[in-house]
Amino acid sequence: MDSEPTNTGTPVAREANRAPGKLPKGKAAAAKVGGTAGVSAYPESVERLISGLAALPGIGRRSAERLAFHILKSDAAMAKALAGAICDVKSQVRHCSICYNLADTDPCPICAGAVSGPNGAARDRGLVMVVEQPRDLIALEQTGMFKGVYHVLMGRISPLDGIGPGDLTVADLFVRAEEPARNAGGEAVREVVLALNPTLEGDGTALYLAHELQKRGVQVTRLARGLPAGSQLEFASKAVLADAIDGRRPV
Amino acid sequence: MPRAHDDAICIRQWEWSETSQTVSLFTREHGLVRALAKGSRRPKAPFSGGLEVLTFGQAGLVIRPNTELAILGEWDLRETFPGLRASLEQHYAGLYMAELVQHVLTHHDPHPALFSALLESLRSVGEPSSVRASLLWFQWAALSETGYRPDVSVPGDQAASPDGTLGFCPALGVVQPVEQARRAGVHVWPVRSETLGLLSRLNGELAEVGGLAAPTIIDRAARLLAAYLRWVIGREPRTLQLVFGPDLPV
Ligand SMILES: [Zn+2]
Repeated sequence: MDSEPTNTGTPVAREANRAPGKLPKGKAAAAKVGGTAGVSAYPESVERLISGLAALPGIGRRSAERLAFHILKSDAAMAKALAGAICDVKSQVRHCSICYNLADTDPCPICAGAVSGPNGAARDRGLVMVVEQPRDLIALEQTGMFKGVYHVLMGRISPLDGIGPGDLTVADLFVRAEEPARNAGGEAVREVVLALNPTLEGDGTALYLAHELQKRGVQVTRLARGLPAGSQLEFASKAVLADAIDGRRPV
Repeated sequence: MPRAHDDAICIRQWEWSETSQTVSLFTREHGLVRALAKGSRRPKAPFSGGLEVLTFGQAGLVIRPNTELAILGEWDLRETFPGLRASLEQHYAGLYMAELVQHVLTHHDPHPALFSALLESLRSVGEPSSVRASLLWFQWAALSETGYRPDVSVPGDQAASPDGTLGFCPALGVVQPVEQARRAGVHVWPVRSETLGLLSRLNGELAEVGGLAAPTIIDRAARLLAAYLRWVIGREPRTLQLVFGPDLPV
């Protein structure tokens, strides 16, 4: 597989973030297949598989054909397992009603305290880290270094694209902060860590959330930024160096 | 095709693919240019770490005639305007300026003076105390550069209303006494003479604006121009209410 979707946010956000005039590959491919461009030489079931694969982000028609032939050549068990996994993902995976993480249980194992924190420690459910997307949560969770729980915004505020707080899960975050019963484990939210991407929009979202959460009496922190540990100055990009200079701290 | 190098401020960006972006650049010599930055998000691309909205850099562009999308081959980052990330007020002010540029200009129509005004205003917005002055000055520059600068002079034979207010007619871009406008059925927004006085002295440097009037008068003048720009553009910028709230005159 080439990649996962790069456009962030809700379907609305993704649509808004997409470059004007550009059809997503899936739609372009579907238009080609379903339109009057020509009759496919493939058997109908193969054509359906190719069209389905080509509708995925980052997969062009040619890549879809290659994948389809790989599936055709594979044994039946592998193909059935793949089909089953796709069906299960759609029928079993949902958003956690507390944190909006993707999970096949509700609440998700992290909110439920079923997944321990670093060194087997219990989850600190008064400590909530806010991320833009489930994939950010996964990246942070894979470090095994965060002992709290999460809140997935499902995008970021983007005024130029017309995406405001109401298009995200911001209201649910505020409810968690205001009503302990609505937070994981019924614990009061003590601190919110903003772990948004360090883009202008991510920073704007962080400013908005910090402003609103502080009004609710919650301590707000954000991830540090600048030079990565272990890196070398001479290889850092200008953007990273500018960020590090701006965010310099007394020692 | 030869590559043109030009100063540019990125005013929009869209994700084109996993590794590429499309961007809307406001350039000094080529005006508004929409460009594809192939591979800009790859770690080792010659783009100084990707293009971000409201950053200033030097762009290496291939602009082909009859093609809407230019190719951005290089981006040498020069300034990041960290003040735009310091407070919501500063952040929204920067976004509003970027959006205004998109609304008031057409593509490939150079406006070097407005480019300089945007650059200077984005630098100035980094100082919390000069946000309103920057907004006022930049809006004035946008109106002046696009030929919509209002006539804020008060003709000597026109007396103000008894309460001291005059009327600004957005349709004509001129000042009229409120009473006279009402009698003539002309739509006007009440405007104070001190606001008009400030606008009439705005043709200098941005750094001087803060010394021309009290902050409340600067704010009032900025709001008047925001309402007028909305009238001129014919639609409400998405960031307008974030900066000026919901109570601008209509
Ligand atoms: Zn959860």
